[in-house]
Amino acid sequence: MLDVIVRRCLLLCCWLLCVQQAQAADGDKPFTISGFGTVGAVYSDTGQVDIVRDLLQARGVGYSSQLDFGVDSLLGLQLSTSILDNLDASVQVVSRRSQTGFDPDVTWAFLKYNPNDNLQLRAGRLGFDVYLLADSRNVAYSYLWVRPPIDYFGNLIVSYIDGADMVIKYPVGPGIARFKAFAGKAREKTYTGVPDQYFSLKGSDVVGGHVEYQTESWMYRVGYSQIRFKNEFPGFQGLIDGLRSPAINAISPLAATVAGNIGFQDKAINYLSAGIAYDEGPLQAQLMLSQTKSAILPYPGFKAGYFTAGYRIKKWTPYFSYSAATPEHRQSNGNTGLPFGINPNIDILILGANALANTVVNKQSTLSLGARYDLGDKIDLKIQVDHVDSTSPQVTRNAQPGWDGKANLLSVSVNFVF
Amino acid sequence: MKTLVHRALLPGLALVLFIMVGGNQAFCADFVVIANPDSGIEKMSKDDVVNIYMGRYRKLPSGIKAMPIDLNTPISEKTKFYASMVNKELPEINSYWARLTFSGQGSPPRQADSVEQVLEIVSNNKGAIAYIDRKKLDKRVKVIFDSTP
Repeated sequence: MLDVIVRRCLLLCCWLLCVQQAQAADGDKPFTISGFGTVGAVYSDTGQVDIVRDLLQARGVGYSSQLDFGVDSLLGLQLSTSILDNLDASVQVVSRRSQTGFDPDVTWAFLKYNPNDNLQLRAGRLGFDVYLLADSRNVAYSYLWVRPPIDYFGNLIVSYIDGADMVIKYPVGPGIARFKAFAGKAREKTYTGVPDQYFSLKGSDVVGGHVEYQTESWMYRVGYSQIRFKNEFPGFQGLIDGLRSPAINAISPLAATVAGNIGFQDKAINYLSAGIAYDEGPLQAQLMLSQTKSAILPYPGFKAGYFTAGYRIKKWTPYFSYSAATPEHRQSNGNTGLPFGINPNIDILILGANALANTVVNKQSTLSLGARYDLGDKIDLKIQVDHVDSTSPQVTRNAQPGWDGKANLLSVSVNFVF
Repeated sequence: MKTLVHRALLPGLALVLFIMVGGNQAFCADFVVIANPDSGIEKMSKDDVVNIYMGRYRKLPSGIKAMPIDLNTPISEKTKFYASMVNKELPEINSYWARLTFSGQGSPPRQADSVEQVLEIVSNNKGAIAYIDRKKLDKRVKVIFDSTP
């Protein structure tokens, strides 16, 4: 149903843009074309692991290639038009490395209605606004780093939803208070680690919201979001069915409990977050914290955070950033209570449950130093060095058994908007 | 260790503070912010002007929908305005707008190419506000904020 609405919205947006274009001769500026892009190169000092920008990428820098041009490079185009005085439409298409190469993806396509300055309603495809900056992490020109801190943003498997959102804002004291709520369906798919196998998020329900308070220099934000999975993770169903079978539960009723912990289907991940950002003249700093709650055995919850500070000196803005993620305890150790060695099929179930109870958790920290240099009013150059220290690498690909958990990256990127 | 702190860090910190505090005064601002005579406003505070230009709130104190105008030519006027109002360089302003534009949250002020165009827009739109060199003022508009009080 929602799918149909979004598709219609998309068509409507395109149609409106065409109509506006046809009228271009009459009015002034019927629609605007703008865009953003990054050309980036990354070198990793280890060939033992692929460092990726986020879990949507199937390969990264290091193992696949120690010098890589695809982790950060991307191009985005946006078409916007004003239909009525308070009704706008926008479509954004982004080509970046995701699960399947650089296929362009429609990341935004929405109608926006502003009945007054206190209320904004949008419907269509919208960026997943789970954390501050999370819905604009493709636009490298808009922030200091070469890429958003991996330990904090890299775990996100959703970048947009098909649905609607609402923002209410009022001036309060010296600043402006905002309340935002959104709901919709996820659509993307994430790489599972097995070649050509993906976990589809299509149809999963996403809801969330946040409260924000902004003064001239400070921004405070507290948010909550949830995703409830529609589909089962590929390859899990056989194990779940096995553990739930009457014969197995006759031996150990615990098996069914473990089966209930394993799957993704109908289970939720909750994101809690809080952030403070300071931006005054040449100085900017951000502190963000989050807690991701999950009762899914192979994907336990974790806490993450980052601190970034940068100071502009003429055209240069040197900055440093520290980010870290640490796992929370799993709610089960995967013990099925089944005895080992009586039947090879039972052994497979025991091993399967154990394997999922010991999947890699997210324990990693990254120290980054870098500088942004203004090449012009709408183009910059960034140089960044990252030291990744991983006790348990989750937001990586192709980790080799001998990897010591360390990686040093040197990144150079040119970022622009037009 | 303590000597290192005294010898290197403290003077460094003092320098940073000097730049931060001194930075604001470094610009000789001589622009005025103008509005339409029928805008229903007499004066605006610096915070109000900043909120409208940064897209945080786009309503004039009189309740009319605000329409901020950026003067692109000469670019020095625009540079001076943002340096004086928010202590930011133009690339930083563009970077700020990049985030809002590409997450569908709003668009930057309308860009005008000449002082004459600015005066025309402001005199024809009740909600329009703009910054211009004090010497370019004319009777079609009124001053609502003065950079050198």
